[in-house]
Amino acid sequence: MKLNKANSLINSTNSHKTKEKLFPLIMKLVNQLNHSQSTSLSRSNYRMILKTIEYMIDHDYSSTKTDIESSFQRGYEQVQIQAQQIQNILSHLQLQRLPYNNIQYRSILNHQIDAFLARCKKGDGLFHYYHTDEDLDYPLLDGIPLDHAMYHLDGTDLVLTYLQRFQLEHEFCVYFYQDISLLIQQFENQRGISVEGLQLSLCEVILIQWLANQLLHHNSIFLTRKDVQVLHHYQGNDEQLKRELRVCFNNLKHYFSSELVNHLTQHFSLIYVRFNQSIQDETDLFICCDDQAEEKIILQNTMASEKDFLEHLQHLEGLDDVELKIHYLQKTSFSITDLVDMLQHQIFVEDELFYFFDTLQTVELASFLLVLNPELCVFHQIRKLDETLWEEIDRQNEWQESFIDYLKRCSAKKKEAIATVLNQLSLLN
Amino acid sequence: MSENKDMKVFYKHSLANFTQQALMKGIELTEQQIQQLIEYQFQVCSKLDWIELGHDRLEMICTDFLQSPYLTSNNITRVLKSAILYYYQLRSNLDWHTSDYTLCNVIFEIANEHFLLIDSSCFTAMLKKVRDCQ
Repeated sequence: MKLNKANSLINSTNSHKTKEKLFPLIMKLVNQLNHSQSTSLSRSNYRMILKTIEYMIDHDYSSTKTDIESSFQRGYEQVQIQAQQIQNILSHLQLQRLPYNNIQYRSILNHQIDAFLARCKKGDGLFHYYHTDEDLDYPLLDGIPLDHAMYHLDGTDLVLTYLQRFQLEHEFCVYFYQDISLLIQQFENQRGISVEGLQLSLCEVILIQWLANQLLHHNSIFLTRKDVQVLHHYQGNDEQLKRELRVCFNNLKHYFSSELVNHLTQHFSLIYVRFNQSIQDETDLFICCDDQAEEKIILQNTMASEKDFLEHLQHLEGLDDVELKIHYLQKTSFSITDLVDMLQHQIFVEDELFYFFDTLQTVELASFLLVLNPELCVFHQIRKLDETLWEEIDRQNEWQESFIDYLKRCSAKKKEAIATVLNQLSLLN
Repeated sequence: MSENKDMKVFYKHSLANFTQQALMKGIELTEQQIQQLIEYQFQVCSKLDWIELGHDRLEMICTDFLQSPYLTSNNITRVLKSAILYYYQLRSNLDWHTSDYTLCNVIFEIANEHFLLIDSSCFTAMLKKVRDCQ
């Protein structure tokens, strides 16, 4: 509980005695601020000193009545302890960084809290504990604190409260560390937007996915389109949904720490509303795997007849421009085996091959890999695009050599995406 | 505005020592003139959004001027008012690297060089000298 002693001290402007009591402390702080070189200061600095006194005295939780200066000193010690707690939490979080490429998330861990602590450690740091200029704009389950003056706090109080909540939600995400990259990738594919600039609470995303899976009695955070369709059956059954979500929240205690469970349970109604929204109006809050991979596989069964194939081949060989060739291939939509046959007939030469591969989607590139060596993926064996994989692929033809070269030059992110699809394809095989 | 008035509560500005020393130089200051100077200090600070907490600063700004041969009963209020104005204008433009003591000395030296006819050209000269002192 806040004692707010300082408010009564400073705001009682009529109290002549209080002012006289405060004056030595104010003077001491002015001397500290001005390095004893001047007795005057700007009005803003004067207010800063008054607010510092107010803040420090507010943090003196001892019940003993002593003079203002001792009270100030005790409060200052408390605030320093808070700053140390902030530093400890931050260091802990920095070690457990999540694979979440988001500006706000990075900013909290790398810049904002550090900047606040750095200001407090400076020579005139004493005057910076009471206020924070940082946005603290990474949203928690209940939103962005500063948007709504949510906690009615400032300075170390605000940063510590925010960071403690941040840490709890972070702890929840850490449980799903292995799945986060794929979940984010699915999120980006589904929405067609990068998470980098979004004000998106990863905890909320994962929690909704986890709860959805709990409703379906799955032990995962991934959903398929079929799962989402099943979830839509709750439409109109608000009471049932609420009841079953309650059960899921109760189950939280089997997996997570009690502190985290308490924190998440506090936001039950908020989560319920979000969950219900996604079921009612299909705003796509649920993230599900793209079924694109399954559709492409079907292409393998619809090969062109020999006559058609030769006609297409002749037409392609008649084209000079690589762009025209690619356009023709896209327009005619070949099966993957037909495409491989076309490449065997050298419809592209040297640089054209690179250009062609560049126009292909991730799933097509993965399909090529699988066609080149169907034994590449064994069920439940996770593959990566690395040296061992290159060695397992046939390189007899020029296009195969170029294809491997092209894959080697792909960015790490793209390689990871191809590997993910490749593993999905191997599951379907 | 209220903060400046607050300062009046904390201490009573006094020019007692200064008045005595002025009297020894043959310059008599009336109670009204003293009040004018005290009020003027508050007005200047208010205008500049500045707070003075040193109860002896007014006396410190004024006392140096008693050394000047150009100070008379006729010009004392005008000269000291200008000194107060320039002191706080400079003070609000400088950080703690310049002490109040240095600032008072510089203001007096430059003002004396200008026969106590303090105008805007003095301000530039004062600022330059203060910066040189840093």
